[in-house]
Amino acid sequence: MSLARACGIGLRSAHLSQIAREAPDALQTAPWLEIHAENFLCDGGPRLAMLDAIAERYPIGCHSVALSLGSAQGLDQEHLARVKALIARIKPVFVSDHLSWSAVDGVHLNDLLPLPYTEATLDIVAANVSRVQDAFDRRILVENPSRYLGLTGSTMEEPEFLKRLVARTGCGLLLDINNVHVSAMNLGFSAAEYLTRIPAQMVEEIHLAGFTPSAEHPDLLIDTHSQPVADEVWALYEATIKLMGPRATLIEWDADIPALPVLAAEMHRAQKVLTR
Amino acid sequence: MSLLELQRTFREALNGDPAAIEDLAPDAARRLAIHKATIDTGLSQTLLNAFPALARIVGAPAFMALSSGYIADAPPRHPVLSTYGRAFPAFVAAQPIAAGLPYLHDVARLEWARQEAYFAEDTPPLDAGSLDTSDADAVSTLHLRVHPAARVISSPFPIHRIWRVNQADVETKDIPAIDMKIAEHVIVTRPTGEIVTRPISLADATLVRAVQSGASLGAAVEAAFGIAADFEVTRALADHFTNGTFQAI
Repeated sequence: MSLARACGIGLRSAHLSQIAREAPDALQTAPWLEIHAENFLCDGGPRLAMLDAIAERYPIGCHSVALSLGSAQGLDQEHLARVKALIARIKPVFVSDHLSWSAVDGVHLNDLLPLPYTEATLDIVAANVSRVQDAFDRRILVENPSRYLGLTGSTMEEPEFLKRLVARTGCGLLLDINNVHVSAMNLGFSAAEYLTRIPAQMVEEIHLAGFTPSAEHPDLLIDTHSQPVADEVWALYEATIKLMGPRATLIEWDADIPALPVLAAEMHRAQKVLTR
Repeated sequence: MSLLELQRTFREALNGDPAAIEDLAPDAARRLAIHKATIDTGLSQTLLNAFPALARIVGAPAFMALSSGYIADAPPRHPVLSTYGRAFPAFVAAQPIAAGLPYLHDVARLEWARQEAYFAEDTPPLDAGSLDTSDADAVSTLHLRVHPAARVISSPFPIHRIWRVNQADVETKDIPAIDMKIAEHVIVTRPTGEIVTRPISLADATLVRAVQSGASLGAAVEAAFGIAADFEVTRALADHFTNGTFQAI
């Protein structure tokens, strides 16, 4: 099944039992769902059983948040093995993680932390991505993160870094349009121009989500995934689809998660853009 | 600066010294604070999800202080957050707030037992139908295995009652007075998709622990009778078979 014209939603624990029991009306036209891999890396139990039931009815994307592809100390082999076992279990349509790091000296910092875009960083990330692809025996997609800090010492911009990472490893890209907008606003670059510099053929999946302006510093946007997709992000999405053609798209909502019909309305809006 | 040095500096900065990365990015302090808030909010929510009764007992501000202290003291060393909080009961027990609430540690242990039970390995439980009880001698020589989801928590305090009245569905005004001198033993099991949390007698807890340490069912029942001569063995075993205490043979 081609998912190129398909917009799905992120599968979160708030909706797990409902979707595992029956295909809810709101998701009648949901062509696929995506999980956070780390939420299902357990020995057993009801959560995994519900995922098994859902995976029988929907194609599933397997999105990791903790492979820490940018760790200078390399990857956590046990974690790789656990994600690999989950991949074997649910046979996902996409496997992805972020252009970021979380782990150093054995401590997991539970966020997607920024990398300086240098040759040395490229060597490290490319080696890590290649090891993940070897371990999983499949291609992965790498997602552009939301950035708040413009690390000095970067010798290239993110689109160029991603392009070279793809050339070095053969990975694909997961383009998060909201993250492009949030990073552009926080770091002062043009999101529209950024998008023209991402090679269309490398993008296999698109994420859409909502941000929240910082309460203390309203000039900074925070990638909270707790809001509807913003109008500016919809505009960028439409421009991207016009530029690149339709791409499998996902509505992500990770906090203050609304009822399924609210998510479905966002999904339908994206589906209209995809089939235009 | 190498990437590893940068990552170590970043971690130090997140641990409370934002000046450490001032040279690494313009306007670093308030921007780093966004990452710090994301990390702390995520981990506090993880602890709150695992320890809701504890949070209700101490109240939101005290729970926030406890979780902040734990996050600083014992940051996650595992990428899967459902494992984060294993040492939280012991951490809480060592804090000043536990001095006035001596049962806090055991309530937290009970909540962690439920967390582990939820994610434990799947294996069919032993039900009464699959055990031929007609031959009493054969039954008593059986060496059962405790189900991977099953856990027994013993306390000198009435932890099941305390835990039960601190569930979200119990109104604060409806919480009855609890006699704090009662010791309670609780077994957590997962017979189907649901976690079962039920109080058992000391004799019954002794039986389960004896099985756990390798005793035959007969020897385990003997140990239970050693605790209480009036131990209702038939009823206790029936409850274990209904609630999935043991693994299928």
